[in-house]
Amino acid sequence: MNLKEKEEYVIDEFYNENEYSYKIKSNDEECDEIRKKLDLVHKKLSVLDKDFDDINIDIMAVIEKADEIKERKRLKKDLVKFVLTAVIILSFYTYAIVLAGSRTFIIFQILCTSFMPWLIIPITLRRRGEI
Amino acid sequence: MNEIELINLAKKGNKSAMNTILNNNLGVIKGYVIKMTGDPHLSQDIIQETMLKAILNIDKFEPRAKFSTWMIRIATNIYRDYLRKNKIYELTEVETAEKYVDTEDMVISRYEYKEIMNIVMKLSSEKRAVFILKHYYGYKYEEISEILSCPIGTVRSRLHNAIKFIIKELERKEMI
Repeated sequence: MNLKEKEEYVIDEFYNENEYSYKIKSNDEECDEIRKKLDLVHKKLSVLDKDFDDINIDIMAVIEKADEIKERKRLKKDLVKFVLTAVIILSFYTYAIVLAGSRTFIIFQILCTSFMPWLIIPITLRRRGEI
Repeated sequence: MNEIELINLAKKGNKSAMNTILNNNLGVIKGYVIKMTGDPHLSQDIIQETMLKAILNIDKFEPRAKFSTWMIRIATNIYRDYLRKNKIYELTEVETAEKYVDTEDMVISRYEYKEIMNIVMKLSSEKRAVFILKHYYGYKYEEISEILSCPIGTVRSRLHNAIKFIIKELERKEMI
């Protein structure tokens, strides 16, 4: 059993991770020496464990900023949806004019504008919970 | 109210719950980031960005891990990106932004802090992250491997190398 194996064993033992190292006979002088060093290192390293009061984070400001970013993303998404819907409707109109002729299309449009409100208004009111 | 309940409220858009969760985890994330960067100014930016990303992605958080663990993972990725963008591999001088009144004890304490931080900063960022998570936060190898997305064997060898390096440096500087 060499020093490297002992070092690895003692380090794993120090950090409660013994299952990852080979079981060795660890009660000899070399192992004790490594344990002592680790204890000293542990004490020295505790100097880094302190509060940093000079780092001030305004959490509410970060939350507000996140809200702004979310809102911007939502608006962008809505814009893309609107543009896509407009393109689809305009393409459909063009296709309908080519297919059925402009006269039929105008009649279809008049029917749409006359009857659509009867459909859209109740749906909107129901969504708002007014009916 | 426990963490899971707060997280569920925060997912529904409750700002007060979000504020409480972030406040509860601020100490952990602050300690981790300052030890990783060794620079209070950079730490402030990284902590703010970490919080921002945590708020924006709260819906993706699954409560099988602790919220602090998830935030540490975010902070690690942000710091990694920072190092990549700025092509910084080592920090030569550690900054301390504290306003000490220079009594003898405080001078010694500041000197020790700087010396030890310099040793920690000499480790590569991967080894440093493993060392900090294990030594200061007591995470298991398995958890660290999940946080840093690397195999358990790599975590173990990084920790061993880091500890051996720190012992060697402390001995060289006659601090132990």
